[in-house]
Amino acid sequence: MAQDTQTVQPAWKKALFLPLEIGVQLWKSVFRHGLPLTDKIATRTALTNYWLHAHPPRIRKSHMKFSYTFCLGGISFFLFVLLTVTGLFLMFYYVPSVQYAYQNMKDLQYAVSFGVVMRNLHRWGAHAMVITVWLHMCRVFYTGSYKPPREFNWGIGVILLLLTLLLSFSGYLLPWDQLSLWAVTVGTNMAKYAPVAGPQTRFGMLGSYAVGDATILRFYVAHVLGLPLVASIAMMIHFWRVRKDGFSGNL
Amino acid sequence: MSTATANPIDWRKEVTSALEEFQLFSRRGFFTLVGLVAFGVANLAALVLSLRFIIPNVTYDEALLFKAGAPADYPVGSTTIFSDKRIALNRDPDGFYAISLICTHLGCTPRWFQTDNMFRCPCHGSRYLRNGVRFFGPAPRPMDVVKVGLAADGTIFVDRSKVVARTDRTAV
Repeated sequence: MAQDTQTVQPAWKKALFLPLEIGVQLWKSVFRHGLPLTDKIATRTALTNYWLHAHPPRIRKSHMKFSYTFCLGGISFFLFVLLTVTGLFLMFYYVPSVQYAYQNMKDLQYAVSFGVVMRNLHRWGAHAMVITVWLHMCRVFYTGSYKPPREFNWGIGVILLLLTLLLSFSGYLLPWDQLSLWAVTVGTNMAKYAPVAGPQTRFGMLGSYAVGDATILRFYVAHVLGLPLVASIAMMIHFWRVRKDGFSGNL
Repeated sequence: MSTATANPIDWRKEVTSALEEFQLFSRRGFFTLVGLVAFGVANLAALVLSLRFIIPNVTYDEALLFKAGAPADYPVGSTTIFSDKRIALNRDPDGFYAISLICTHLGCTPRWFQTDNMFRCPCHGSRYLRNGVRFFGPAPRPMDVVKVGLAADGTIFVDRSKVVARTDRTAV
């Protein structure tokens, strides 16, 4: 029946609408729904898209309040992104060696345009991230959100806390001032007190018997590549579990 | 919730049924197992060599032995600090001895205070007497005493790689 009523489009008309058709096709391939011309379509598009709506699609009204989560996980993630971006910029002016590290840090403060802003965003952002991650952990604890079925995600969260602290510790060495040197001396000496392979752990961390060139390179590689990579993978699982497990119940 | 605690998992049954399902003694089961073991061994080997790789065989630390000039440069009763070498060289009436200035708490460098006749560690406040014996703070034991010797050319040397008895003195 449909065939009877279908009119054959002239070729010029087809050519005119072709870009529009391709555009709609592209949109649909990305968003899985039509153009968000109505609220219904817009809502469905957002809720079924992880990138547009990482939170669970169903959530209690009381948990929508800012005071339930204080957005602490979100702020921590925002700070991680901020630290990644500012850290990437700092890498352009920083050479991880005893000879250059301190001078490069000073150059960022005095000789690079907006170097102070970039360095301080990174420095204070790092301090802030440690604080927000701790507060996030406290919030999850006090709302009882660590209990089953969310105990797995609590475990991932503990790993992320440790990674945050390790990132903080490894970054602390890089300015290569007196604080850096002695903080890492003290920190790695603590590792030396570990059972079974304490001194070997310290030697592996330092790459030498004392904090020096080998150490600064090691900490740099861990700080800019190793730890962020592991943290990113852990975060992917963490956020996905938040969506799948939903928010915890009322107190 | 109560039903979950009333029926705990029967692990023996779980393992038995899993083994039955796997069919180890079939051709496919056997080769699957061989493949998995090979995969596991290869990964383990990669892990071991990766860990071994990051532990260096050669370091570029400076030599632990250094020369400290003529004995006559040091008056009896003096304490001389080599801050870069992290050594305090004491000369007493009975001879020389050197203290390794590595705090036994967490490895900072205790600083010499001539007027108080003591070492103080800037990190966590440990204090040591002139002979390196701890008398205050979190440090668990005295600082090491390392070897002092007389070289063939008549100068004295300090060998930080050799810890000696606290009472050892090098007479000149």
